[in-house]
Amino acid sequence: MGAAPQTPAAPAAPDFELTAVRHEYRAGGASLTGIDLTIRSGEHVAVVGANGTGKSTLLKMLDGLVFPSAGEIRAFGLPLTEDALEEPAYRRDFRARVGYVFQEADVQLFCSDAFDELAFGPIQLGLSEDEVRRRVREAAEELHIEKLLDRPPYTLSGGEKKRVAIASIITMRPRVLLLDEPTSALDPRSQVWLLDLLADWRREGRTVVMATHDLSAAAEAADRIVVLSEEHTLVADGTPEEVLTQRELLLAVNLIHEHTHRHASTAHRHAHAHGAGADPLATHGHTSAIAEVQQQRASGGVPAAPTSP
Amino acid sequence: MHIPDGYLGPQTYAVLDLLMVPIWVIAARKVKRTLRARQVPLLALGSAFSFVLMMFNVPVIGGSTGHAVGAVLIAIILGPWAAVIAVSIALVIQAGLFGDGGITALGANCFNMAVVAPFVGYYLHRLLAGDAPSGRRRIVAAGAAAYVGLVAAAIVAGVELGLQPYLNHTASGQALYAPYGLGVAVPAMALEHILFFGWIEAAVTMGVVAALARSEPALLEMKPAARPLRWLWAALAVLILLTPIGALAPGTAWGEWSVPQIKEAIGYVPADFARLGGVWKAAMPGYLTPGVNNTLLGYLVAAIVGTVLVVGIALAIGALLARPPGGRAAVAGEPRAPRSRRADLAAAARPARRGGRSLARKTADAVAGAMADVLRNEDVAARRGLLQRLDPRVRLLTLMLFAVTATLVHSIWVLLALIAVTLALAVASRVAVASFERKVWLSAGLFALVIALPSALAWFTPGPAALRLGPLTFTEPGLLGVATLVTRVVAAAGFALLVVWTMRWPDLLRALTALRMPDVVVATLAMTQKQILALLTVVEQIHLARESRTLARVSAGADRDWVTERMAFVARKSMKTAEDVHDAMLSRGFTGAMPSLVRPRMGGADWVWTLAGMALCALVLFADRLAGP
Ligand SMILES: Nc1ncnc2c1ncn2[C@@H]1O[C@H](COP(=O)(O)OP(=O)(O)OP(=O)(O)O)[C@@H](O)[C@H]1O
Ligand SMILES: [Mg+2]
Repeated sequence: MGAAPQTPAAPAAPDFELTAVRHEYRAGGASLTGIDLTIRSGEHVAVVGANGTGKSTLLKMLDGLVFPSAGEIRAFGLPLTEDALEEPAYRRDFRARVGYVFQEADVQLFCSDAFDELAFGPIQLGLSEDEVRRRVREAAEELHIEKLLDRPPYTLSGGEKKRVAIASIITMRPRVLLLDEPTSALDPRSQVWLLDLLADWRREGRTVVMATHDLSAAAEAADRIVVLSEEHTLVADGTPEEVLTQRELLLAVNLIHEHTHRHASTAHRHAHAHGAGADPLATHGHTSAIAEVQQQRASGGVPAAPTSP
Repeated sequence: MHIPDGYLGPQTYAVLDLLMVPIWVIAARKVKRTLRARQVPLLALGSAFSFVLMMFNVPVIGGSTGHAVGAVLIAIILGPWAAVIAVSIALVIQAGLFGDGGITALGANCFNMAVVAPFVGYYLHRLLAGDAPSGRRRIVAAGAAAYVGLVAAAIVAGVELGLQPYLNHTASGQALYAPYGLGVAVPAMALEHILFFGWIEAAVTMGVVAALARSEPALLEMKPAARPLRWLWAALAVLILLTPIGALAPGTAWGEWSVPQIKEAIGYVPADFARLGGVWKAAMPGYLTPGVNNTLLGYLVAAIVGTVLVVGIALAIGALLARPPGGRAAVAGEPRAPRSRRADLAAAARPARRGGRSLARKTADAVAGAMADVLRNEDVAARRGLLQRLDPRVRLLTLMLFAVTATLVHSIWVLLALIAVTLALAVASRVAVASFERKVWLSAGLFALVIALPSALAWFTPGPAALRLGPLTFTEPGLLGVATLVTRVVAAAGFALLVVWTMRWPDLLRALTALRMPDVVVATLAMTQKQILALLTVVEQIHLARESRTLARVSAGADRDWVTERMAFVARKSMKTAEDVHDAMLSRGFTGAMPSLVRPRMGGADWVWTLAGMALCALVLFADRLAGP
């Protein structure tokens, strides 16, 4: 895969280090507060939390788009500040290393067609025309969007937009991928395809930080889950098994809720997860779309990667 | 106020096109300095907003509706130089994507709406608002500034149109372009905007500024004035002193002093000009300033009274708007079940058969129609026709060359031949010919006919009588002038529409890049179009949602409240989108330009077509000289 630029500091430095970080969009109202978080190279971290807890804000901060109003963030061993990013060499290096797939693909796709979209990042990095074309071709193949390249983004479907958005990041060959709600707008088959893509990235040693409220996707794709509370603080940090078994905590942060179900003739209450995916806590035989497709795939019923429409 | 192709003679539009180039360059520099890296998204936001604003129908007296331009509003929010760029881009997109406004007249339209209006409005606003950050004074100042800015633009447009009969006419007095002299064109444009469109502009601007002051005051923050505002007051005083030259009662002023001057300058005095001068002289001074004998003093009094009147009425409206919003429309029930998007578009684009559509429905229809247009254009542009096969640069430049040729031709027969060329190109490019001709003849031709027909009356254009209808006498040169204008407008509109219908938007952008258009401009154009489509969707849905929940007819006042509220919402929404998009660009290493890799290449067919097109245009001009006007 693409040659990552040389690390500016000691290679042992973690990708991101946040110490006592606070952020507020308007004075007084915090959108993140007291965040201590270290993300090491190659880790796959899921940031989960209810709506409005600050997941997107955290990712934007990791991408150097918003900055702490208190506390410090370091990226690859160096302080990540607005001033530091003003410096062209640092900016180029940082932008080439970190790719961010936005929550809304519409926001991210601003070029006049998909080809330009994929080429945008490499061109901004100042790569040669041949290199740009090669990267666009490879990324298009990887995400099965060759046929969409000459289409204006506003004529694409939600799922197609998401693929183009991811491809437009891949062409920059980032070492760190920040994914905001990657599974939204994807049908079950495409969700499986995305999980496969994440597995590929894990093999390649890329760091992934994904924000989601889809607990099953988090359980499937991440080797570490951090939980944001509605008070915008970090309330849990651990492996999926450690975090997802803390029912009280998940209830408290509104990621699951008490729910009355009727099974045959018996009504009973149990905790129920939000999100399109599987219910990691349900124990009474519901199989979700994802789990179904995975079972089928295991038995060879569904192709691993969907062909492009 | 959009001047289409064919109304302005080549000297006028060429001068204004050329004049706009340095203005754009200066504006781009200024904006780059003040807006920094945020320039592209912010400008795109401004343009998209101006464009979308033109789609909102605002109710006026008597059940009719009109739309605002938003130039002054944008100047107030982003500054006058940013408004130059933003409104220009909105106009380019209207011409290039929707076919409204002309190609050759682009410079004139930009000068009027993107330079005159924002600058006049911006400085008047600063002057009237003082340092007041918000509050009633700010709102009233914005309304008055918008009103005066738009009227000023209209007067300049009137002058451009009114100069045509003097600059271009045949020996027999037949007008070749816009047929009315200054004595008619200026008062007509001025009055239309003083009585009608100026109020819409003022109401919209005040409404949006009031709503923004409530919800997003940071947007309206004024940078401290670099220089004391005293010179602005001085400038206003000078302007008032200068009004005899034509600001408030143009007919009077022109009639008073310019007949001999014009005769001296061009050796020709149009009949209507001399006559109207007399009419105005008889009617105005006695009426406006009874008891004042000195005419100059009369003008001054009129100008001051007029200014006071405008500010006073704006004050009254401001007082009304500053009330907490109340009296909401009757709303009930659930939004209707969503239908498929295409079906919605198709249904909405169909003209309503029954009269009395609601305001919301009208706007939603207009928006849906515009979007259906864009989608249809994409369709046609994707077909493999003659023009579509050509390199986009060649396509753009040759069609523009044809349009320019149409504005140079004097003979009606040669113009008819050019119309035949547009038809042939439409057929060869697999454009739906019926709808092409309908659009060209009905929207461009019929409009020109209606506007120009009165100019054929003996009263305007003297000459041998050709047709008598009761008391009305149409003269031979008059009717010929009308026919020339209509055929010219139809020919030019045909070529412009071919550009719109056979160019995919990405192709147009690439053609512009390949033609060395600055990256910032192309990037802004690209983003604007994207934002427009996104915003149009929002606007359409807002209106449809409202339509579906409105049971009873609501008063025009409530409708107006609602529309301005929505505009403020769209402004906020586009602001947020602009910021998000900018983040997305930064995240991918954006450094200020958006070059494209796909460069068009010229093939053999392109060269053949270019040479053939140039030869054809030369032939047309030669034939025209032979045929005589
Ligand atoms: N541009 C902004 N201006 C002001 N407040 C904002 C802005 N963006 C987000 N916020 C606020 O900051 C908080 C965190 O928002 P954020 O978008 O990070 O949440 P999230 O966890 O990503 O939510 P979701 O699951 O809905 O995407 C929210 O309370 C939100 O209202
Ligand atoms: Mg979010």
